[in-house]
Amino acid sequence: MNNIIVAENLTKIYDQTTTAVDHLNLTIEEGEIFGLLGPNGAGKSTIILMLLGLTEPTEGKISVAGFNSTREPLKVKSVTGYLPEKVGFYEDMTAYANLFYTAELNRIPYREIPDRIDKALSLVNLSPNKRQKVKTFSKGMKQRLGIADVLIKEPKLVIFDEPTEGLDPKVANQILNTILDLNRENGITFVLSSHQLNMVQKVCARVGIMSHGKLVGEGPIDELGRDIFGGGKYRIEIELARVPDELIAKIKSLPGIISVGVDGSRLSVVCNEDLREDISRTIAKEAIIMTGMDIKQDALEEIYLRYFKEEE
Amino acid sequence: MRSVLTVFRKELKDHFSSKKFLILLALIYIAGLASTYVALSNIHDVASALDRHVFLRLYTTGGDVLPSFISFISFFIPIIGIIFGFDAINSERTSGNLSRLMSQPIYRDTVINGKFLAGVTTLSIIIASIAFIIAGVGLTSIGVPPTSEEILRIFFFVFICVFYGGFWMGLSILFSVVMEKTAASILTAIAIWIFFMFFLPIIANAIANGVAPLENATTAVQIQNYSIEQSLLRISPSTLFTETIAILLIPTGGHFMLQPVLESDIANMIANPLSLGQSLIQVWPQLVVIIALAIICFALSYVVFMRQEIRST
Amino acid sequence: MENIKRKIPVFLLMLVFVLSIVFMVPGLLLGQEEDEADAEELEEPEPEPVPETLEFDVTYPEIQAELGSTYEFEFKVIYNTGTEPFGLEEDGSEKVFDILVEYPETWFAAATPQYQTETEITAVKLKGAAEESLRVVAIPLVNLDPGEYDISVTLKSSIEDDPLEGTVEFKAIITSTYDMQLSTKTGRLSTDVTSGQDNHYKLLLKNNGSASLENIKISSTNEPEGWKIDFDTDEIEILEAGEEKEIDANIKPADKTIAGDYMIMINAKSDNAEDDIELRITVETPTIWGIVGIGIIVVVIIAVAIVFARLGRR
Repeated sequence: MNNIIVAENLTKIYDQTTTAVDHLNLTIEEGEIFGLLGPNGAGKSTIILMLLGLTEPTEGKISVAGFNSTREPLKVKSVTGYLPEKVGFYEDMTAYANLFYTAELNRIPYREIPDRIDKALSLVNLSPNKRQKVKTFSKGMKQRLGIADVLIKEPKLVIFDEPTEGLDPKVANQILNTILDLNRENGITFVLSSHQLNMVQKVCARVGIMSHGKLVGEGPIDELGRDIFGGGKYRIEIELARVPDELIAKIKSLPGIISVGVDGSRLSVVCNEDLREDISRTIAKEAIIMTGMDIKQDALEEIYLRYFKEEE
Repeated sequence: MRSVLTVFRKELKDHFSSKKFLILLALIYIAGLASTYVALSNIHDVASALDRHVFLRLYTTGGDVLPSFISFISFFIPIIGIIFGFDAINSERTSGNLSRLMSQPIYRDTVINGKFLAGVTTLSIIIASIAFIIAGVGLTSIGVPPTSEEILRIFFFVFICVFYGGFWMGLSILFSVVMEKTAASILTAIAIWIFFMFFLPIIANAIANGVAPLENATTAVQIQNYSIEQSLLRISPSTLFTETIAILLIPTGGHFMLQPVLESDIANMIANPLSLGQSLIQVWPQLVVIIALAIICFALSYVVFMRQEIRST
Repeated sequence: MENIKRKIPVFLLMLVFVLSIVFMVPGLLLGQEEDEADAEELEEPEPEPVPETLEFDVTYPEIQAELGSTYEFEFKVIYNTGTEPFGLEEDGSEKVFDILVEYPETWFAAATPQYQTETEITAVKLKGAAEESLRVVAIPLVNLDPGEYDISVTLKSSIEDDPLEGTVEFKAIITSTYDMQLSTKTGRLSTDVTSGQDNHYKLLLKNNGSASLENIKISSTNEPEGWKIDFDTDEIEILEAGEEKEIDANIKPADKTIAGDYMIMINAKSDNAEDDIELRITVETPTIWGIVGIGIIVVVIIAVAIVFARLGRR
């Protein structure tokens, strides 16, 4: 696999005092969906700006598809689609006219433009709205039009800033599914920058977690969980009437259990599989009343919280 | 360059389909035709057949009720400039279009260049079209064709108008870069315009009268008063512009407004028109300042825009 | 003082003496005359019969006027009845007279009563010793040369064989008139011209007077700067009475004359008379510039329309 983004020792210091990105090394492979996670101000946006050549690194370098972002920003931008957090269109122009303008700016030959627009619009299911003015569009439609807009240039890489921010879950899911389809069918690499994890983690094969300009964790989500918590994709929380030590030992001895935590009458079990059945059987054998059981598939959020609790 | 043209074309389309453009165009055309009507009804009294620049009188003759075309245009050009520039950048930014544009394979200055070019082009179209329509109406009505020198003067006039409008456009683009809200940028630009247009003359007059009171003044003091007022007024680009077009379009006597001239001196002068070359030499400083101001304003907004984008999300 | 008082009686005596001599002299002279008159009367003791006469009293026997005027001569006639009236009416104080007015062929003249000049009378009844005011109205019928014309009125007794008649003579003098009329051939006082070009316009100069006009000069005034107005004849030595002459005026407005109306004055002046007319000259836009002007407007409008069509979004 080719590396589409390579950042080496990337550093950005604003006004000689504020370090936004601190000696960052990152490699993203072609065809991946990479989640760049972190709270606001962690340096995600600065990385994207440097990646697009809109700002120069203080130190180190970043390249996209073999082009140095600082020295050849236009080449980088012609293969990279960027969807800013607050994507905007010319409201008085039709969807078609907006996309046409983007196509022109990308120097796509005129005879190809209509076809590309049709293709991009059909990929995001906006074909019927082609001749409508953008001001009639809903937020979700605008977001989809934003995707169509980056697809016009047939990019190798798409950077998506906060793809689901402000969308209701149904629409957010649609967007994420579109991203997945595009990734699978067109082989487009996606970088999703977000501080909302539960949405992003559904599609990201690999994530990088940023904090204070540093990449504090990087890898596939399950690996990350294992690295930090010693693995564990699921967390099962159980509310019990009493918590005898033998029970904890018995649960710990169950196969597939990674860790068991106790917080008063509350048990927190981390495991790699859904072991609710085994655990409840064990509890029932001990004749302990179980008042509640819940399973959470949010190890990533756990990780995230653990890193950023202090900051928020 | 091609992408500048793309932005340029898109912005031009925006202008030509916007209501504000249509309103401005209608306003200028109505003002232009009204002042031409006034000029035509008064031109007999002011122009003799021996006047070598009868045709230019179409632009410079006013009446009791309505002013001349050049007065109208010196009033409207700043407004056009401001209106075409005040929301150039900040509206793109608030609408979220700017970051999307920035991610396209274009240089960052493409956007501001294209916008400025489109604004200046639109302004040129407005001014040139009304100037030529007046020429056509005038030619039909007075039947005196312009001399080649007069045609050149009219072209220079349009050229200067465009630069003057470019200055105001550059200024309001600068505010649109610096200020986040379009309301703030338009109000600031209009405040500056009002200051130059209405307050500076009052201030200049007050200072001149304070330094060299006119009561029972000798001729020397009167000249001093006039000079002080004139120099203060020249701070204002609108003064420079008015002087420039007056000298350019009133070859006979228009240059007297540049320095204090005693009536006795005028009486001794032969009212001979200046040649085009002489007129241009007379207005050269003003012309250079106007062009420089336009360039400075645009350059400033260019630089601020280029530096500013770095941090935005 | 005493001296003067003593002298007064002497003064008074001398004054009385002188005054009596002064008053006496005229008295003596008058007395002499009276004596002579008395002597004449004494020479003709039998008064001879006095014949009837007609006595005329004319205040203005000559009237001088310009051609075209009406001449009115007033006169008074007194019928003096003599001592031997012939065919006298019973009361012996009235007689009817025929009025015969003689005038040159080119004239018409008639007698009228004093206050009714419209009434033509051919006879009048006169009372003895009474005054009757009459009037003769004379009108020259055609344009006559200046000169003197005699008109006489004869009153002749209408009684047959009565020789009583009286004639009164009048003289009507026609003086020379100077009347020059400047007009245009068409009668219209306005014309259209093209700037920078020769525009010919025919003027008409007429001598309406009875005398010839000499040294006529034709000139124009009030024309705008840069205009040239020439006349084919700007000086005429002599224009006989009643004669008319066509004058060609060439109006050449300056090259850069603004279209519109201009007033110019043309003046003809002779030694004795002058006349002027005001002409309204309408300078028209040369067709070519009219077309070019409209062309420019059309081109600009089309250009703007094209820009709108190409750039404006619907």
